[in-house]
Amino acid sequence: MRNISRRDFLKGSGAALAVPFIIPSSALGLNGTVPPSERITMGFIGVGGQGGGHLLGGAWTYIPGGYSARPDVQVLAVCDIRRERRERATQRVNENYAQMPGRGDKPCGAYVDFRQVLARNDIDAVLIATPAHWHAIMAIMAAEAGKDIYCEKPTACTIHEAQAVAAAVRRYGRVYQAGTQQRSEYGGKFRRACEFVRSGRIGRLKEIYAYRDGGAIKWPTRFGPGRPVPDDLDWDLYLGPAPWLPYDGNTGSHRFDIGELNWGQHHYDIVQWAADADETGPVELFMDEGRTAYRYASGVTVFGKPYPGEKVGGNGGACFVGTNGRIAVDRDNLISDPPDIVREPLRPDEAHLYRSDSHSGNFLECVRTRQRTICHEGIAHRSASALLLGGIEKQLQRTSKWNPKREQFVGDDEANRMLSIAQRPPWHI
Amino acid sequence: MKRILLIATTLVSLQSPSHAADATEEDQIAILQSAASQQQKDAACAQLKRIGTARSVPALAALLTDDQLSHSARYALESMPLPEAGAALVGALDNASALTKVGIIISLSNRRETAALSALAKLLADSDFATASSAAVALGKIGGPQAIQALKAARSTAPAGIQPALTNALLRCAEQLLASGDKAAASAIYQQFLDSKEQRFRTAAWRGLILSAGKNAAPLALKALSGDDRPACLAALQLIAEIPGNSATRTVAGALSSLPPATQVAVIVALEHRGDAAAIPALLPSTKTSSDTVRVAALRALAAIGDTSVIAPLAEAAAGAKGLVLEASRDALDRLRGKAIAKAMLVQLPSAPAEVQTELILSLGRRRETSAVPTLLKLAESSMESQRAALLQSLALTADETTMTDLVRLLTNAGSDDVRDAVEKTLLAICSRSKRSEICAAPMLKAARSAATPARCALLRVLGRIAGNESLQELRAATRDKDSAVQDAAIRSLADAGRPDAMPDLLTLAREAPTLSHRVLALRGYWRVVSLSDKRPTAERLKMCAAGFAASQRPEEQKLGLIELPKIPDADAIKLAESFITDNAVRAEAGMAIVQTARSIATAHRTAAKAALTKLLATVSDAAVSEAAEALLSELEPAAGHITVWLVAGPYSEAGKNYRALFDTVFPPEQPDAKQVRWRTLPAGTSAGKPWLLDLLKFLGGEQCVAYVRTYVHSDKQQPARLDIGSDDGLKVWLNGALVLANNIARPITPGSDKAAITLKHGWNTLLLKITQNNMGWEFCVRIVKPDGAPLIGFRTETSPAP
Repeated sequence: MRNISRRDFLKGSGAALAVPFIIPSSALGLNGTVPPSERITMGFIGVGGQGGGHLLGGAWTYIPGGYSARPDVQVLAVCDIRRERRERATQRVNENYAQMPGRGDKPCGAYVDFRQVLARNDIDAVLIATPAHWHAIMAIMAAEAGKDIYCEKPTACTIHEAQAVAAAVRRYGRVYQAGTQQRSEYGGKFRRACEFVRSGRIGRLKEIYAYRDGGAIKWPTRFGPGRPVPDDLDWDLYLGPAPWLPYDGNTGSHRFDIGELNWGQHHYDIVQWAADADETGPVELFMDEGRTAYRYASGVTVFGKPYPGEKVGGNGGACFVGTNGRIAVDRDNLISDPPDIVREPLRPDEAHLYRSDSHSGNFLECVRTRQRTICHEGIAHRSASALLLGGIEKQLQRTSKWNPKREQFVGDDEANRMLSIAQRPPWHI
Repeated sequence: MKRILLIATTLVSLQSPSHAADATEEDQIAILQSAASQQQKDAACAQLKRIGTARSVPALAALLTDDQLSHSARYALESMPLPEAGAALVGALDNASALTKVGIIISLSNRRETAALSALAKLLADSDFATASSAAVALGKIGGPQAIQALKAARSTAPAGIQPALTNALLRCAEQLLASGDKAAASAIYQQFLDSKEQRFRTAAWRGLILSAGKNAAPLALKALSGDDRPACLAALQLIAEIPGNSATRTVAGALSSLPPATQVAVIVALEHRGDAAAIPALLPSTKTSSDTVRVAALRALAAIGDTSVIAPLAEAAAGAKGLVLEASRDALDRLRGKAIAKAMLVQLPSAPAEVQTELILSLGRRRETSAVPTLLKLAESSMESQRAALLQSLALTADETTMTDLVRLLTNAGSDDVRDAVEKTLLAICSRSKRSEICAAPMLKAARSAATPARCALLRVLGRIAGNESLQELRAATRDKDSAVQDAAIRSLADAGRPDAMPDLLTLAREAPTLSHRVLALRGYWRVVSLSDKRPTAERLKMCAAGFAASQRPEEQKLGLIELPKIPDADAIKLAESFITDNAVRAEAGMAIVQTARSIATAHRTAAKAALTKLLATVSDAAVSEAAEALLSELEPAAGHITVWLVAGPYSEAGKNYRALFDTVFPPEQPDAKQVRWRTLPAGTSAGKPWLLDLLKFLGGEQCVAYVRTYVHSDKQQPARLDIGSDDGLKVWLNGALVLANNIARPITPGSDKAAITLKHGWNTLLLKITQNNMGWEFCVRIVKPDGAPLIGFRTETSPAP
């Protein structure tokens, strides 16, 4: 097939369609030379370990060379509250572009305040990899600013945040992808595991072992004097919606976490996918051997602990137990008992799920086509909720009932009060 | 007094979270109303968030206007499902300072507090930007006629800076109207923003308008798509996948051909995501269009939503196609879902044109449609000559051992080499999948004796891959057959099979087969089995090798055996290799085998490995072997070539300077003749398994600082050398006072990541390093090697230059 550019298309059709990005990149015949008008312009908010990996590549990342090495992306802005990170990342991007023909004409700018990135009309999409307590607010503000969004996990720290992100993305017609890349990456192990489970290869699904239990956020408080804030740090912007604290040197991404808020969404995302629960959630939550657990309306029970004796699953995975066998999956393994369950390729008449072989590729493709990503806002809303409900349970330490349609605890005032957390003005969801 | 005691008791109990939950509401109220610290009051608010009733509201309300504790009070009041909490928040608005007031407004908005509507409406005109904007968003979240009226009124008077917040709020109100079913009212709001100067609002407005349009949603989306407003197109394209109802699918799909090609592709992708089979009839013509891009998009969409009705069009598209169109159409055929697909393919097969037949047959195979096997087999046996290759290819993927008798008959009756080869491949595929070797073997054994030579040879080749005594006996007998072709096929089959039970036969053939080529084939087959036997016990593998070497007379086969020895981690493997070390034809391979085997046993038997290498070095003449042996020997010495003897000075830091700035800050150790330096011995060997690693963090600790380390290197002569250094983080290196390396960086340690060419002078050399520390790990390692990386002989290190 000859390469067809969007311009060829428009020329051929005689149409005056002012719509960039509506052509899938596969139809552009992308071969490393993408004209500037076809590139998606991006801003990177938060360029520490995670965001820096997305931007520039690195040992952990699943994007070789990072977004800045992609021919179909032009990074226009880098934002971080730490001067050194911000300047180093911006310099690296500009140095890389200087060595790539035709890429150095639009320099990448460095920003302290993400609102300045959102205010740029020439930026199509943002990647949010900031401390967790910022994720939802920034995603909402990005949607309201008309940006498409990739957001790291946890995508929300409270149930109300999870709902508000999904609503804002829908309200503004944006494309959103959660940083739960296991649906796309790691050789498709997670997708295949979920397809096998949903095809009934282990019989009727009874139990899921999620390896990690719930997570939540909690504001710490401290009053009185603190240490001097270093010149190269914007402490107020680090705290954001958290209560004001005197500077104490801790600018960690997860300093306000309770439980498994950091990693939990990876696990519960796969739990929800396998349980065919992307649009819903648990109906009952309870404690089991000191770990959170819950039950779906289907009767499937999810335990926030490892399957006894099974090592596979701890690295982002889960173990699915059915009436005829079990499947365990993580980033390195996909195994089953009996072993044949996962050896036979998926047949056409079995359950086939949304397929993406590259998380960043899926995001950018959907930015072009305006279709929903493999981890879209609705999925992120519910997979975050599955984790966060466990976080509430972890604090309550007792059984509770949840109505997944109304998204409220049933007859449980105390639990319902924990669906949100007051935020420091002017930040809100 | 009693109250003070109560507060004190409660405060003590709050130290422990588990006890905190037991504290009563009265206790918390008492704390809030006491002179307790802000910290303690905040903790009480956190408790009241969960257990507070109307009784706590006054105490919490009193904190709302306190800039320090307002957030704490909101923490409790915001989620309290009581009208008293809402009233308290409204009541605090007038007395709160600017940002604190914004916080209260946010809490009211999160509570959807209708009692606050009037107060919030007034605040739209507040001169403080944050207050007015927050009030707008709050009204948007609460929604309803009163909010909408206030927001609309403000649009005409509010300053430009507030307008985006008003628009956002009205979009929220419209969303609520839409959710409540009042599409007309929602639509009226969305209409106001279709011409907004801001693209983000136009996208949102078009999206809302289309969703409000009910049955007209699809035509409206098409209208947006055919216009020239980008935001409208983006909204429409997204909604094509979401507008409910089959009729919407038909409307959009039906308009496909009238859209420009670029838009067609985008709409087809949207229809694919929509997943409604109602689009199929409209998509089918796109599989025949002149644009390959449109064709591929349509084929992909049909793969996702297609049913039995698309089988023929897809097979027709594949027939005669090339490149991506062929790939997409075949992929679509393979991905069609549902149990009815295979049946329909089989029904359509007999009457389809030949090229289409081929595509259907191949797809049935790729789809692993086992239900198709009887039909495919029947057709393969029939006169369907033109499709036989495709049929056998598909049977290879789908058939099981129950078809062996039929396939063997097909093989023995084959009229051409091509058909026979194809059946043989099918038989091989089935046998390799099957776990029931006896059922696989039986029909072939039965047919083998009576079959004509070409068929018999084919059967012998397949039998070679089937485990079991009967197949082995058949092959063994055939190796002595009078027919040289049969004999050749049997020997080759045994040699290729890689089956351990054939090893004695292969050794016999290696000695006794009539031709050299057969003897060589047998011996190579034997070594192949050895190479596949890596899970067998070491002693058994050694015996296999010994027997193999006894039968191997030529260097070529001896070399095959020498490749296997290092895979056996045993000192006896070295002995076997040593028996070849004086044989000129294979001594290099034997030497390498000794080195590699020594490496494999080094962990468990270091002394034996070193002894073997030393013995090898005394006799070997081959340079590559010698170098490899020396390198391994040097590796086996603890921290070989690494300098582990160091003095350390530091840590040094300077206020306001991070590790990057400290890199170029001169501290006493790098000043000539500095007197004030306290040099201490740096402990070595503190990291398990890494004797070469020096850990500064363990010894010195710290962040944003530097340390210096110094040692003396004695060289027997002046000689060129290379420093291989790893450091966490940056480093500078001076040799005899001259800077030889500088790298200002933050990184984890990688041994040898920096290299510097140096010349060691005869006698003592001073080596000084400066290592910077950002945070976390702080370590380094230094190795001196020859310029080409080989071990350097003739140097030693001390912490002071001994006489």
